Amino acid sequence: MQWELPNIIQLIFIIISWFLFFFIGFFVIRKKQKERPRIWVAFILLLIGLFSFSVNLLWDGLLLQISILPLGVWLVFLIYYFQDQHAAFYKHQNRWYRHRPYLWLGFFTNYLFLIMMVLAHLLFSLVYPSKQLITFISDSGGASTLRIHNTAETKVFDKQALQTQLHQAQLQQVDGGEWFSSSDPTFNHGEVNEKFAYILIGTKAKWGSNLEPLIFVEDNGKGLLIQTEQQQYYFTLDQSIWEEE
Amino acid sequence: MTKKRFAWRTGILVVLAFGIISSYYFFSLTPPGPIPSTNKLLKTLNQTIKDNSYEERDIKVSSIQDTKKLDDNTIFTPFKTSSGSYGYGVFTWERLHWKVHSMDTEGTPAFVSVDSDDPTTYFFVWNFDPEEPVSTLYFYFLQDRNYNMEAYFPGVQMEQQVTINSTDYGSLEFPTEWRYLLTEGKDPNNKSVFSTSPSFTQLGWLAENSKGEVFSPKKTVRYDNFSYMDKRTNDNFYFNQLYENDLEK
Repeated sequence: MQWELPNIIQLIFIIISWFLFFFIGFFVIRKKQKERPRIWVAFILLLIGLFSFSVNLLWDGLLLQISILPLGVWLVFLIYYFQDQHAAFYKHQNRWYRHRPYLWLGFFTNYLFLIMMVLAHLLFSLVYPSKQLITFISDSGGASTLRIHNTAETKVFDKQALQTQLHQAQLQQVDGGEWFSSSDPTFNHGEVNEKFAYILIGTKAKWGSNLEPLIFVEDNGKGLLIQTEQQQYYFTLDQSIWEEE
Repeated sequence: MTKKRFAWRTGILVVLAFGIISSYYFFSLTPPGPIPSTNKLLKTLNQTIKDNSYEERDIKVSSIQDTKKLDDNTIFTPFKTSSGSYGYGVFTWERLHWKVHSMDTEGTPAFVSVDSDDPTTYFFVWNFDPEEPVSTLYFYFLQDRNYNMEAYFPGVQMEQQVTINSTDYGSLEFPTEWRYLLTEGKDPNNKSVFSTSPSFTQLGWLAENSKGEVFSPKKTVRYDNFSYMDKRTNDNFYFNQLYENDLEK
C-alpha cells in the first residue's frame, strides 16, 4: 500500500494524537494501577489494541476509517482465556484485568485519530482556502508555461502579469461539458480547438499544504484550471498572462 | 538483566544492523562495471532466448551492431539475428551484474521503463531494417479529452521528432516536458471526488519516409519474433504504432 504524505496540519495532529495515546497509556492508566505490567508489555498491548475491523467512508475527499470490531482486544482475550485455562497454577489469574485497559485504550484511540483527522481537515480549509489562487500558486518565481497540444499556437508567457494578479483571481464554476464541446473536434467540424492547451510549471503551492497541483492555462490567458489530487478549481483573471504580439 | 548481558545484546544488534546496512550499500550502490564484451552480451542474449522459450527456437542473435549507454545503469544493444531481422537488447546493472532487462528480435520502436516510478529511466529504442525507408520518427504523449460534472480534462498531444540519419537504430530519452503530465499513481487511495478519473496516458510512435508520407514499416516487422521483458517491470503505459487519424489536427 502506498501512503500519501500528510500536509503540515495533518502531521501536527498525528503527532498530538500519538502523544496523547501514549500519555494516557503510561501516565494515566499505568500510574493508577497497583500491579503494573512492564513498560514494554504495556507498549505492545497498546499497539495490539489499535488493531480493529473498520469501515471506510469518503467524506469531502477525506478517507475516514471508522472502527467497529475491536479485533486486538478479542485476540488477546482469546489467547489469555485458553492459556489460563490450561495453566497448572493460576498465577496469571489477574493478568487479563490488568492488561485490558491498555487494549481498550488502543481501540478507542482509533476514534481519537478519526476526530483529529476531521479537525485537521477543517483547519486545513481555513489555513489553505481553496477560494484563493495564492493557496495553489504562492511562489511563481520560477514559473513558465508549456504547450501540451501540438495543434495550439505557441504563446509567450508574461510572468509579471501573473504575479500582479495572484490576489485578485476569482474562483468560478468548472464547466466541463461546455469546454469539452468547444474543444473537441466532433463538435467543431473536425477541428481541434483545445481550450486548455498549456500548463503552468515551476510554481509552488503555499508552504505546508503538500499540494502539487497540475495547472492548465486557458487559450485566452485569462483562466487557470487547477487540478489537485481530489478536485479541480477554475480561476479567472482580468488580464491575459500571454504577452501581446 | 545484568549489565554484561545487556552489553552483549546491544553489541550483537549493532553488528547485525551494520551488516545489513553495509550489504545493502554493497549490492545496490556499487557503481556499474564496464560494458561487457560483445561476445559476452551475445551469449547472454542467446541464453535469454533459450531460457524463455517453451520449445526450441532456431532464432539467434548473430551479431551485435553497437553498444551504447542510455544512462549509467542501462546499456542499449542493437543487434542482427540469424533470421535476418533487426532487434535490440537492453541491459541494466543489478546486484553486481549486467542483466537483460528486455529484448526483442523485432526492432520496431519500443518503450523501455527501467524503474516505472522514475521517468528519468524511461527510453524509446528502435532498430529498423536498413532497407526500411524511415526518414523521420515521431513519438507521442497522448491523453484523451474528457469531462464530468465537476471536472474537465484537456486533451493532450505532445510530439517529439527524431530524424533518422546514418544509423537505423537509436534511442531517445523520455522528454522532460512530458514528465509534468505523468499523474498516474498520484492518488494512491483512489479517494478523489472525480467520477471519471483523469485520462490515462498513451504513448505512441509514427514513421515518415523521405517524401514526408506516413507509412507502416513492414520490413522490420516479424511475426515470429522473440520478445522478452523482465517480470518485475511493470508495464504502465500503452505504447502503440499510431496512424494519421489517431492524431488531432
